[in-house]
Amino acid sequence: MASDSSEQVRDQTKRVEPLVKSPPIFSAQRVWVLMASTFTQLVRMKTFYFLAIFALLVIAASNLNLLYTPVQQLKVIRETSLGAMSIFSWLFAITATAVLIPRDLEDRTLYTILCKPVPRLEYLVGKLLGVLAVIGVALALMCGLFTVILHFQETSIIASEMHHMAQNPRFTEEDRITEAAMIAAYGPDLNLLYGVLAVFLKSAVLAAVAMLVSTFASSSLFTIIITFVVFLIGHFHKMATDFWVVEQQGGWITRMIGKVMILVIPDFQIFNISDSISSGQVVGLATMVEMSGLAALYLGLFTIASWFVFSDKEF
Amino acid sequence: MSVPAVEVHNLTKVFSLSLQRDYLVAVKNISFTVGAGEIYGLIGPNGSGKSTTMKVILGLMKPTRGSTSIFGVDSRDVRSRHQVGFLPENPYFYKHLSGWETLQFYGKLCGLKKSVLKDRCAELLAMVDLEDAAKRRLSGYSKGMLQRIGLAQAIIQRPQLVILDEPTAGVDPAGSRKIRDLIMQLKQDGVAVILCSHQLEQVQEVCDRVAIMQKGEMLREGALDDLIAVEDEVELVVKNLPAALQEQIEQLVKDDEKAQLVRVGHPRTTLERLFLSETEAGTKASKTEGEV
Amino acid sequence: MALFAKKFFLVVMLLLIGGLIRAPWEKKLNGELSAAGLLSNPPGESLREQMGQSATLAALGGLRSLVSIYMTLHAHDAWQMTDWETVERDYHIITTLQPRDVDSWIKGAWHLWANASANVQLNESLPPALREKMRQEYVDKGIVFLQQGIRNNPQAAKPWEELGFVYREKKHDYCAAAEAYRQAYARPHASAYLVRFVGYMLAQCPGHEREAYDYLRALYDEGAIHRRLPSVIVSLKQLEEKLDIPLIQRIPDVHPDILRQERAKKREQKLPGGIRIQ
Repeated sequence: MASDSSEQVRDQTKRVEPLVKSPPIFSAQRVWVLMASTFTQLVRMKTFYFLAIFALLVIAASNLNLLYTPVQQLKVIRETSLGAMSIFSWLFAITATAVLIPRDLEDRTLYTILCKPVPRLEYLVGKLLGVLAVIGVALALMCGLFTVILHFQETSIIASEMHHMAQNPRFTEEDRITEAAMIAAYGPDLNLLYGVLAVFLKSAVLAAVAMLVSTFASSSLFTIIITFVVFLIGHFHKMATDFWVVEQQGGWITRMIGKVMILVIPDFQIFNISDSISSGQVVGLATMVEMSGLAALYLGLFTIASWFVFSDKEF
Repeated sequence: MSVPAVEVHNLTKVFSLSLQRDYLVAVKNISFTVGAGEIYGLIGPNGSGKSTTMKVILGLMKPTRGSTSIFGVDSRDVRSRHQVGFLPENPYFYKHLSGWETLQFYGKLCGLKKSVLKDRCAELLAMVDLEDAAKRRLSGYSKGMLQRIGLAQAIIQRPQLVILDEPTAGVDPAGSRKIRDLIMQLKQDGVAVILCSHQLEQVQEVCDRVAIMQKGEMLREGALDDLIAVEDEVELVVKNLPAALQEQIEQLVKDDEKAQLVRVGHPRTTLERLFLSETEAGTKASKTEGEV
Repeated sequence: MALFAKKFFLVVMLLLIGGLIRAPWEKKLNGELSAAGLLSNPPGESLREQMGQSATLAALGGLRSLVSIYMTLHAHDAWQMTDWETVERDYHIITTLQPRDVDSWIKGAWHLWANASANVQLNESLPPALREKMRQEYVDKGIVFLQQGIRNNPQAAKPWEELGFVYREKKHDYCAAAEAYRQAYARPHASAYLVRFVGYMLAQCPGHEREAYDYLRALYDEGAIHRRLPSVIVSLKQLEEKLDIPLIQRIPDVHPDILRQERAKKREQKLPGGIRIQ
């Protein structure tokens, strides 16, 4: 069957023109495709089943009767919901990011992707954005769900309080308005959205850290453990700064290591404002813009570092 | 002279074994060229360096020494992948995607426009005979179906070079034949193919040139016919040969001083051909019975 | 291996440079968030010991709210078991984790001055004098807890209001109660009735009768709801008697008790003979 020579083969065959002339070096469309594929992959892993658990949790929290004041009842819903959102998004950011690249490698899907004209940076960015998209959508859905529950609880609590106050001559109209306003301050508001945004930003940084670790790591388990350790250390930033930098405690080597760790590991505590927000503290738009900027800087740094490792990794 | 599809020049690949000051030389100073439109077979036992060579060509690994290029572009440059399709050994792809979605995914990665991609996906699914399974997720695909969808994704952007690593491993003879036909189709379309396979018969059937590797070294390399021809023997295959004529021929050979009759007998078919002809005959018979 | 070490070192260097770029930005944002009350200090050593490792980690990880909900449930159980030491410790943790949660300060204090104090009073295994001593101690603990809440939430009216209530009901210290209500009313979102409570307490504070009379009379003269409320009228009438205010200056209102009796008489006249309203 074999032909005489390659020259003859070329003569006998018709050349078919390629369908794409010259793809760009960096393409947002390819990043989008990788992101969408990662999103679909994670969604089809039945990630959103967590939403059902979340709904049950919020409903349970809204029916928790511990002799709470009206404001406390709403606060418990806010705190439980934001807490559950935080836990979901952190766990998801670590585990999903940790398994994605090793899984692609194990299934040899990575070969087929990187053998297409896909720069490795695009692959990493696409994967990371896919994880962030799932976290974003899940948080948006959870936020919507708990906003509805919170709204109904707020309305019913205010109505019940107003009814009781109206029956007591001690309370004036002004008292009733003040009470209603105080309860309403713990209903759904823009601050709550900012709280959810802070949870998202923290998870995004965590996912970027997990991605960097996974470019080094030899297994998903290693990535999960190391990222979790980094996550914990990232919460001791303020304590570490006070100890090593402000108070100058420890020997110089310890101080040096401490300072390096403070500079290398992200300060996760800085994103922990959802706690205060669920307790009714108010946050400004400017602060949120600044926080988003910081998160973007972290994402950029860790993505570049990941690319640096991944760019000449051999498979 | 046109630019070769692949050029491997003095390629050496050394792996350092972790935590030990020990090294493994996977590929030792090999060079070869694959012309455009040529089917090139890379054969050798396990651990001979075939896969490493392919990975270096595809940019999945860096050469320790030497260089590789695809249509003149260094393999380390992402642009070299523009004209390449690759089917890895035992591919799994994304199990959560259907056949159609898989082709869409790889097509989009190659930068194919939506309108072109739709037609191309339909065309390829028809070509690999997976139209009926297009909407099914790959988790439900058989080994042969995965190989065929893998082949389809490899050529989604109509590349000028396709690298196939054991494309028929674990596939039944019918599926294997189908894949072989597809390779032949690629050849007809002027696409260069590097075929890495343990199935030597298949390599012999489709390849123009072959390289034999062992322990990282290139043992033999060249046009298949040149490599397998037994220069001092001639084979005559005659149909309906009368016994008298056969005797005359044998006598002529005996009479010659130098010539020596080595073997007389009936040519053998391959087990694969026998299997296919028998199974096809069986299928036809049962169909006919059904019609009756 | 050498390549791995080289890569690792270079990545650390890259992150280090990034860290130097972000450090001033982070410091500024940290300051802003702390000033706005959005970031709390990490739990101190003693609190970490009390909470245990997992709760400390959760609190550090930004799950203070969840830890505090858990501690509230824990305290609720302890309350039902009348384990007051646990209740006290749990609320100490809750308020340390969320010092700006006014309701937790109030509820923690309530457990001490109301529940614990009443419960020890009922403990017949203790001698009466000791029971009374312990009751007083829990009331005092409740007061201290509220004062801590006030220090952490200087703008909140509710802890002051609660403090006024404890002084009035448990300590019968009407002067301190008057001051607490005055402080409560001076704060934003205070209930409107607190303005009158200051007067009622002053009226019972020895030596402040004149001040109380002037205060309540000013409210009465303001009109509106104050003029209609029986408590205002009763207090003023009692103070008028005590201070011997000239008749001409006294308020014209009839004492609410007399009004009530007259109304009852009128109703009785309409009833069939022999039936009386108790």
